[in-house]
Amino acid sequence: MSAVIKTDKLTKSYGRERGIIDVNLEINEGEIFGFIGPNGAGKSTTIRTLLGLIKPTSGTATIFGKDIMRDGAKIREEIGYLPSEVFYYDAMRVIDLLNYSASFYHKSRHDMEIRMRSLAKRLDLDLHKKIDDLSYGNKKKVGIVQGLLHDPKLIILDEPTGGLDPLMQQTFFDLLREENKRGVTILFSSHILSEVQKLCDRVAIIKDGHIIATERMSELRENSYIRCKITVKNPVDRKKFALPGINQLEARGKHIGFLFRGDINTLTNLLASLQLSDALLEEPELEEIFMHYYQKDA
Amino acid sequence: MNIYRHELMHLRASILVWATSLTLISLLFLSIYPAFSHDISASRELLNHFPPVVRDMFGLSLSALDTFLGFYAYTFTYVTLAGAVQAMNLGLGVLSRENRSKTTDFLLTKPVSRTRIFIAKIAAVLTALLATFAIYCLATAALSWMLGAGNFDTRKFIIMNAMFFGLQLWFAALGLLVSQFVRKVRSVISITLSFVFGFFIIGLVGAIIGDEKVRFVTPFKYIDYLTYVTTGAIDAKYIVVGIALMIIMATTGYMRYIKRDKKAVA
Repeated sequence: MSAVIKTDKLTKSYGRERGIIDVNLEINEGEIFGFIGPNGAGKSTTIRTLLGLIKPTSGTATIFGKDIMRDGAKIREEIGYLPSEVFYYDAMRVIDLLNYSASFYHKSRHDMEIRMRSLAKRLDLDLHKKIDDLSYGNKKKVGIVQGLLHDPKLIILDEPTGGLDPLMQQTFFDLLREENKRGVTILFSSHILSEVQKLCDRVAIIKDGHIIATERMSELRENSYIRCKITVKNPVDRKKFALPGINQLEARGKHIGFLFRGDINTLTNLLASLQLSDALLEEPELEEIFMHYYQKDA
Repeated sequence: MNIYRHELMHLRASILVWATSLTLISLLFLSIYPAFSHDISASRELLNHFPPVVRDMFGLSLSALDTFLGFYAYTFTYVTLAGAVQAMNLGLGVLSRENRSKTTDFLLTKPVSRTRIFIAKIAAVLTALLATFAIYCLATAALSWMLGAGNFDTRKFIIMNAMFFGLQLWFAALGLLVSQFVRKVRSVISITLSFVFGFFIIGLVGAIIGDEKVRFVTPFKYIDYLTYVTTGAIDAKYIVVGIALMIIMATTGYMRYIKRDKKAVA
């Protein structure tokens, strides 16, 4: 398996604003790679650097083995990109915009036309409307068609699901899986863990401009945390919670909260031994998982 | 070619509007010529009543106004003003269009280098300027014939028009430059008007105080059209400075366009 995207100490600093620092990524051919982190962590900065929209301060990156700075135009021939916010020339009709988009690629116009129509049909997109008259969700569909019509070998998605209703999101994910089956590599950035879990093989976690972990999705799932919030009837000694797998313990009177990872029986035994008036077990917020990674690295 | 075509499609209405406007301004002022030239001495008498300062300011030279070309040179005060607005608008608008419509991501993630985008966009601006200029030239040639200009030096007429086109190129280059140094171009026309009128007023003030150095500062005064019509002389040093500035502005604009970071739209 060869690397489709490889970055080496990719860094972008914006002066006072936060950028990215020493980002090392290796995304293999045929992979669906998740890129996850809270807003402002550097996901978009990384992606925009890969696309040549911003220039790195230092470090290098290659896509398809070509340097992003030197061969940007050539590389983009095989990239489909969908940003989180889509904007197109308002005065154009959808079909004209898509044809304009297609005109940039040195590929068979006929094939792109066929693909454009079939994608539009599948997403239920009216090609003859003016961009200005489209709802946000429909503009997003234009974005999807425009990103896929030239049959790219690499699809880069930057928080792409906003504005899509759950049904359309499903169709979109199906489309991505089909593309992936044909060998297309996908880089999928998101701040929503469940989205990434649904789709990705591997995931890189970014926080404050640093990649803090790269894991297989299966490992991440095995290692998944449970956020536990309980209310006890009688005050309990903190020592009772000094068990393997319990993190970030917080006790305020009768309210106790912690993150748990490990053998689930440890947790159930612990809970069974307590007199509870309330208990809540849930998937932790992304931020909390990051906190863990962050502490581990520090 | 696709970007060039796309830009021109966008500009086609503006080309027609500007060609018509320039022609109408010319028509408005030139239409006075027959009445004016009908009784030259009365006209001179009238102009004599204006204070010299006012005459200088509006470029009303007693010696040149009795010929068609002299009169045409006088209309240039306003034609060049409008032409400068058009050109700077184009220069300022063309590279900032994606920024304003938030379509930067669309265009710059396509398999095309920024240099090629720049070339295509500049080609579109030049085409638009050439198109309006061609219409303007034909229209003024027709007007001169209709208004009974009689025999005049066609070579001077052509050179004056060419100088006007040069001035437009200068302002287009200024537009390119400014568009790359303003953080975000919100309104093209307001920036254009402040620059163009700024230079225009500097020119007016310069004409009043009669300081020759001011001519280096404002492109409106690189060429003294009235002097050219009467004596056939053009002061080359201003033109050289103008061309040098134009090249510097355009290349600086280009350098910055290909390097500038395109941040995500908020």
